[in-house]
Amino acid sequence: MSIATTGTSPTVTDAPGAPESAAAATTSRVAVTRARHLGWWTLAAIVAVSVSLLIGVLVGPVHLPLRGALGELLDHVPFVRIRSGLSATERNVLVNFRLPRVVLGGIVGWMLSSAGAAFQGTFRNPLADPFLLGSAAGAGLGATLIIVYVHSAGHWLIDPVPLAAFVGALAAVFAAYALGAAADRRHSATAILLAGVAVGSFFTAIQTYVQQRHADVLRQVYSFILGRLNVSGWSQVRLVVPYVAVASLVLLLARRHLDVPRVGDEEASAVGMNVRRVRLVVVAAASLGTAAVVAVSGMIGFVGIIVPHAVRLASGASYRRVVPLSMAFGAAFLILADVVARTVQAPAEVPIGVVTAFFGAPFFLVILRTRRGLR
Amino acid sequence: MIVAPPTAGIMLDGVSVHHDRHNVIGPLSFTVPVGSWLGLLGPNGSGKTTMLRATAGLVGYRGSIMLDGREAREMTKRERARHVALVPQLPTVPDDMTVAEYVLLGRTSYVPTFGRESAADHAATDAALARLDLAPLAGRRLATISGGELQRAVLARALVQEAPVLLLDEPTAALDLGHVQQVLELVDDLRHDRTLTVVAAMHDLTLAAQFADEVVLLDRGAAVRAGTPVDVLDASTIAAVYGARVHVTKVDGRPVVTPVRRSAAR
Repeated sequence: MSIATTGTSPTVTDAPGAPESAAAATTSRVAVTRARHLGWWTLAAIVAVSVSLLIGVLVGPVHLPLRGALGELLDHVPFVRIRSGLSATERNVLVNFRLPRVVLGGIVGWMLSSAGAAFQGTFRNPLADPFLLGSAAGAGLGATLIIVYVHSAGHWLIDPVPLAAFVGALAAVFAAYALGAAADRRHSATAILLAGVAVGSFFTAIQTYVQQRHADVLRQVYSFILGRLNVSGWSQVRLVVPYVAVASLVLLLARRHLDVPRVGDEEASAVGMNVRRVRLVVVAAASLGTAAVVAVSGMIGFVGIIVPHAVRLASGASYRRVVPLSMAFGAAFLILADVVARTVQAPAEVPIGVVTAFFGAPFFLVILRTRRGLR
Repeated sequence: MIVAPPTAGIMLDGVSVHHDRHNVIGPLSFTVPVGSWLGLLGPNGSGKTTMLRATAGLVGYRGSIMLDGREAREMTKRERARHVALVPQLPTVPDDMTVAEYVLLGRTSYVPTFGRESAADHAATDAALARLDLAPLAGRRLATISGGELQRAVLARALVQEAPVLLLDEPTAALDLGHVQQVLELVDDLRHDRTLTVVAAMHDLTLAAQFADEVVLLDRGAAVRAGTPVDVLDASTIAAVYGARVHVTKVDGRPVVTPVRRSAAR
């Protein structure tokens, strides 16, 4: 700034009513953070994740003893050494088959739920889910193109399908955001969401066209689109962890600013928030994480809507709580949904998206009803 | 480069706002001294809200708006929010947000994008809640408090911005007579406590005249009269601008505007 500010008002340095605040010194902190049992919610989140993880590794065609499995799991915690007493086969089943699948399910649920919460917050739209800006359509198109034109052609060092899905998802979101922002200088939620719908439909149209012309790979394409957690070993977990870690960190750090747009873009701007920048950062982080998990698990619907809403209804509306609790309960929910998906028709598997919707929707309606009754 | 005198809380110089190439307001030029109250008057659509939004940085403008001696256009969103706080006419009220959470939103410009509120942010919120008698309501959801309480909460949110300039857009439109006086007296007390510069857009000419040091009368985006309430508010001016028949009397040296019917009896 080139202007000398000789006229600074005394108000700026004025301590805000120091004497009168003494009596109510902790009013706001208490009302904001403590009034809704933060400690209990933290505990509930940890218990939910731990219990679902344990159920996830215990259920399956090969019986594993509870104590042995628990010991083996704790043995993998740093600084803990426990003799689990599992046989080599049992240990192999646990560590190389059950655990990676459960962990991947947890990561996918964690990411989709928190991305859903972030989208709902930044777009002030309760129907927003992580795929809203076209990431599902983009991933589907990327995967289909690779399956149809490339996959069968030769041997690849890495599986190109997840890579193409990842790139496709990011490309769709980028296109939607750029088009929406170009249409509306203020980057309004409506403009970007409408652009997302348009881009999604466009990508889906191309994807369907390509798929119809190559009926021989229909099954492969569908198995990707319906979503699944078939994993072998830890490679897919290693693939998504870096992206999910970065995305989660950004969403956790920025979550306080997700509450500000609840008063509308204009008032958020009036209290000093750079709405455009925060929206861009949040969408970029959530989409990066979503693209990564979509690439390895396909499109698992409903998690990104139902979990944040259930958390919000149960724990209160502030994103300070909704974002981290969605991560934990999203992980637990998807691990349990996967347990159901692989047991009800064993040895065949039900697509996990079917399970999330079938059990998630009624559960969600129950929460909705109970909370309405309480108010 | 213009350097505003240190006594100017707000200085407008040739400010105009355009929507779709239509000139909505201006060009307007006037100065509001630090610590004074300017009443912004004029009929519906005369540009009061647009002028406030331009000052708050919510709409683009031509010309120059100096806040505390600095050109407002060159400020970042954060800097602007620390210089000027706006109480909107129809605030968006998130039903399930608590009063304390809502007031804390006013501290947004002090919280880093990837950070959390500091002790100072909570202290400022507590002080504002106490000052506006909202402390007992801190944990209540906004949906459950009355209109008068809500108006105080919106005022508290503006107050914690600790901005030297306070803009009020019809701050009392939804309130009954008693609450109107309470809120305006409160604003006036705060103005004296903190040397705030207040600009209030108001429809009630009598109330405006009682609280404002000076008034600006807008009509179709132009300032038709400016000065002390007594100078500006006379029956013929009000008739010309508002198309209203009024009787202007004086109480304690301030004009009182009474609407009168064209024919008293049938």
